[in-house]
Amino acid sequence: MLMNLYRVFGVGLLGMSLAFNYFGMSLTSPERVEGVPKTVRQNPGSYRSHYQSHYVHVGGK
Amino acid sequence: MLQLACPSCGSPVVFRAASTAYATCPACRSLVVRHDVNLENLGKVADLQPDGSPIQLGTSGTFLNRHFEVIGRIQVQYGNGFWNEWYLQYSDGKNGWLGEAMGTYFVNEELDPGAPLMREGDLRVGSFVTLKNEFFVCTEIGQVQLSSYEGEVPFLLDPKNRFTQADLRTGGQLAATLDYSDPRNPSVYIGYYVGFDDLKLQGLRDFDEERENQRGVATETLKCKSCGAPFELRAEGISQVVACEYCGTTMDVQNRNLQVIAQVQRSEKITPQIAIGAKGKLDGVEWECIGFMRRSVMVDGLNYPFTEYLLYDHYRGYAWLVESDGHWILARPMLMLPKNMGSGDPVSSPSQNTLLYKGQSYRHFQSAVATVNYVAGEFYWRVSVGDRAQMHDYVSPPNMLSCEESAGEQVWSESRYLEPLEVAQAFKLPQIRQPYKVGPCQPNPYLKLRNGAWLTFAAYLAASFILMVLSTMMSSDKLVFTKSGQATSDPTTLTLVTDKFEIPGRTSNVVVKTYAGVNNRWVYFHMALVNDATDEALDFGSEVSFYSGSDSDGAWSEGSTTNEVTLPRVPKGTYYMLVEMESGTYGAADMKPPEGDKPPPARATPGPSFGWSVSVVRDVPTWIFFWIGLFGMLPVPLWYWLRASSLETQRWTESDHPPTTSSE
Repeated sequence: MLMNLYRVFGVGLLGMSLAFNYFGMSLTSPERVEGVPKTVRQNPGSYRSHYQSHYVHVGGK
Repeated sequence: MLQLACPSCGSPVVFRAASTAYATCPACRSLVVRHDVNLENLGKVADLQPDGSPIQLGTSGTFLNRHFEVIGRIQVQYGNGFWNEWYLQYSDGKNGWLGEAMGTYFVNEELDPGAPLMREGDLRVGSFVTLKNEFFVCTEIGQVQLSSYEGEVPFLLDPKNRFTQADLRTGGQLAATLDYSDPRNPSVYIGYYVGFDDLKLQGLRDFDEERENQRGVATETLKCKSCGAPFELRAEGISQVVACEYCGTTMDVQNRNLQVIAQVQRSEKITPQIAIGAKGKLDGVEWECIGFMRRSVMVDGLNYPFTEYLLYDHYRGYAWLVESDGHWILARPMLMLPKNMGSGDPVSSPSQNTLLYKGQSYRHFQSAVATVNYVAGEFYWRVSVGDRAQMHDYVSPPNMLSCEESAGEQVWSESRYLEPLEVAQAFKLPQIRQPYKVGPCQPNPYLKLRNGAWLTFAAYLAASFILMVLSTMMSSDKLVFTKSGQATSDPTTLTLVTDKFEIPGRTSNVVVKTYAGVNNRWVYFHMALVNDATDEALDFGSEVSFYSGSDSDGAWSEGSTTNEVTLPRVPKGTYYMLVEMESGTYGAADMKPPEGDKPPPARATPGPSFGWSVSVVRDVPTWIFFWIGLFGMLPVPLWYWLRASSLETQRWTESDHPPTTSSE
């Protein structure tokens, strides 16, 4: 019984991973922004990215 | 067949076999010898002793597709009672023997050894003997003596002669007996131990009918010599002693004198879970419980008691039902010896080696000395409280092999684990003690689940891998846009809007790959992928940083000049990108976040110019869900593996081979 449940779970997981792949799902979820002004092409500075504030890795020894 | 008149009483004496010269008269028990068609009376033979044998003259059966009929027997007395050598007349005219005692059956015939046999004095229990190019192990040596005859026999034995006989066993059912009735010219009988059902015997004694016929006949009531409690003999002729259930006095029941062998002072009367006289069906045999014994082994100063019930069936002999910590096993005598795993030779002396028996390997579990603490009921050997025996157990759950060693013999038995419910149902017990700990041969229910789970996991892995490869091959992985340039060193921020480009096909993922030709510098791309038709943007960032140098350890490098970000579910359409770059250099101390604090915003610092590029690729194969699936599937087999291992650890902790820990 438990093993059958496990097999069903496996089949489900397999189907899900295939579907996720096919439909282009990703673990990342970028911000969706609506209404980007049409003028942005003439004035790139009119739109500021939500990622304006960020942390960058500063490496080196 | 020849029928002649008994010279003593005139009754007919039948000779079925041409080879037999001697016979007993069934009417007057005179022993006669045939001289052509005349019979000579050699005198009366002793009465046959009741031995509980199910076989009788006229019983027929089949062995290796040869039909036989029992035409005579020699009853032999040995240390533990009597056994019978039944003389067989085969349908092909040949003769042979069927050795039978206490439910064991040995079909044999005399063999010309072809070479001198081992001398009587050189033979020991455990000695190897080679016969017919086969290794035999001596498992028992004993003194025997003729008791009586019945029917036709091919030769006579001197009733006053006590002589040595030795049992030889192999790793198969092939076995042999060495007969030293003539010490200078010993005989060999070779044959096979077979199960009762294998012989397809017919014309057996009907014990139920005999019991029915005795009903109403006045019989002497047996009473304990010590306390006077009445008792009944259930395996008459086979049982050697009986221990009074009430006072524990052990009496000899070989004859009806009931000589007291031992009197014990019982501190308590133990009520067995299965009463003496109770009947229960196990493995298709209706067993009767005729004896009860409590024994114990001392290991590391701790006493481990266990209870043994002696079961009896007229046709199949004995079995032991053993209970320890609520775990039950049914033990039966073995027809053949186990083999050593490495050499394949039959085991001559129990050791801690792994054994092979009927194609299964058995691992040594425990060797200990068992002491008898309590007895009640009938036994086929002269048991008494305080008796000790060396025991060796080997397990292959749900089966177990055991060997009990004493000076004159090695007795091997094979056992099967029984669920307590099976015992309770067989003997109609209203309740039964629940098991605790882990029994030596208790089946591990998690092993099957563990194996099944790993098998399912492996199948998932294979299926998932194949599907992912196919999926990868079918992905378009198409570059739909690329833009590159040179960033100036100062100012370090660049903002641009790309040309429009088409993302074709079905809704799929989009991977934005960024490159910056920097060294000891970071570049952060603030980006937005804007749908020209809907003005909807996917806003994201991507960092590229690469550092290198050299120090006392040599050259080093860290990071990469490329990076990529996956955007999910991007529908087809016309898009453009907003790209804003920031860049900073290695050595900007204020870039490193204080430990435990939220990182400060990055600040651009001037630096050398560098090349950069941004590329957009659609429908890129990704293996992330493959790995997530694997990790999703892994806990179940891991769980069962842990449970199975835990149970095995508990099992072997009680053995001579406890699992070792890393600290040991």
